[in-house]
Amino acid sequence: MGNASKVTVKLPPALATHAGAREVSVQGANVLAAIRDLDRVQPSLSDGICNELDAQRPHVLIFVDDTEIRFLKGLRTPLKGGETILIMPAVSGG
Amino acid sequence: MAKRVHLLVGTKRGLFIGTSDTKRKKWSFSAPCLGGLPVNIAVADTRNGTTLYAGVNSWHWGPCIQISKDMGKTWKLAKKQPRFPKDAKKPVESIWQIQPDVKGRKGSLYCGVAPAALFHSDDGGATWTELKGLTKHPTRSKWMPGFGGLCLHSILVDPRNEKHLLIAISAVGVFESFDRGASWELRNVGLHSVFNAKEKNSPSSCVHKIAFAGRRPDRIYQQNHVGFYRRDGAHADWKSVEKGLPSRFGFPLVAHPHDPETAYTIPLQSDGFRAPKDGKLAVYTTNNAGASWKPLRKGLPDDSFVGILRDAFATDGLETPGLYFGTTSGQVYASADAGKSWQKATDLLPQVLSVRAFVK
Repeated sequence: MGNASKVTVKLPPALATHAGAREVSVQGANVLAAIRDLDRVQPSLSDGICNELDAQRPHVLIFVDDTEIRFLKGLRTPLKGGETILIMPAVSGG
Repeated sequence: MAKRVHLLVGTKRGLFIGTSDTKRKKWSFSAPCLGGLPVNIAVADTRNGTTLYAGVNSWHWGPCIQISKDMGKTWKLAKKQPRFPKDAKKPVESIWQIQPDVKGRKGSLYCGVAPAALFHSDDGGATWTELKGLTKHPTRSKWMPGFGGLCLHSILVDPRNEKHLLIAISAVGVFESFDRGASWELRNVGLHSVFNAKEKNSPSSCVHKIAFAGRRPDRIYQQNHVGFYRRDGAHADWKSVEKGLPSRFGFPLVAHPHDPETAYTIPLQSDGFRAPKDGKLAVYTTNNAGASWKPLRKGLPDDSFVGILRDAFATDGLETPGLYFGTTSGQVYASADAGKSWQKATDLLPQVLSVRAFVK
């Protein structure tokens, strides 16, 4: 993979069940690519975070080193390597 | 080993599996599978061992198909989910139906989603491909969603001819294919149009459920938003057969697995009041293909204002068929004598979205 950076993705229990681990090492030049790389571990796992139109699912939060990606460059946020991507279900409903 | 009857009860918070011997009087239910996620539909494919398929629509993690080969103990994601291409206007929003193909086509299954589209798998559900002939149907621009979305909720595969399929979409209508889903014809002649459309075959009928008559797949029963219908023959018009029902409104229907004259529906009071009329929960049956109907109420409550959703009614297909339905208030009712009498198989589940029964 060209310009790929190694990062760690921390998964919530609902997705970790399928990955077989809470933390997964992936590669990607940006957040979207790193999330799609989860599919190497378990095919279609990344679908739970981003839909097929490459949009972040509306009730999912993604942090890169403690900053939510809406305050960065969204799914196009570049990765230099060594970051931790945290996936969380948003607190939704009432 | 003696045969057992199994119920797959998909709910808003997980899948519950009920089991009984073939007397079907005592039921035991599993702890919820699938971590409390909403399970819109769950089916068993018994053509090659037993494989369970669940259509899960998570608020957080989106729609997916999960597959279990150990009766629900463990689940795996389908490797390639039913998904639209990247340039689609909308993503797949929810899984509505999963239907195994005819007996001889092991590993072949269909899946209906919202926004309305049909997918096919020929590898036991591992990967799914969109059948674009339906998505690109010339009437597509006129399709309008029902209250539950633009959902493809019913899939029938003709046991006599695997190339012959029917699907139903709310609030669009019934489509028929004779080439295994490559091309489709709209089949709404005779149905009520939600727009009062002038054309006879308008893509604007709110079909709620369709089913082949038992042992006579040229006959199809339909519960519509505004009536109960029957169609005899591939090119015949739909005929209203609702005289004797307490209301035209309802969602699910079950055809008797062996008697083509017999079908069952669960009428609700009205579109505006989706509960049994006067609280008297009742399954209605016809034994003359809809010419007349009678209630089957023995064992059902008089003070029940529950709803019954379109996929929450099923039969086990046994010689004296068992019938099962789940309610929006979490009860599952069971009948071991083709509806003559009912008992509560379980209670206090989350809202029941679907019920399927199988014998193994």
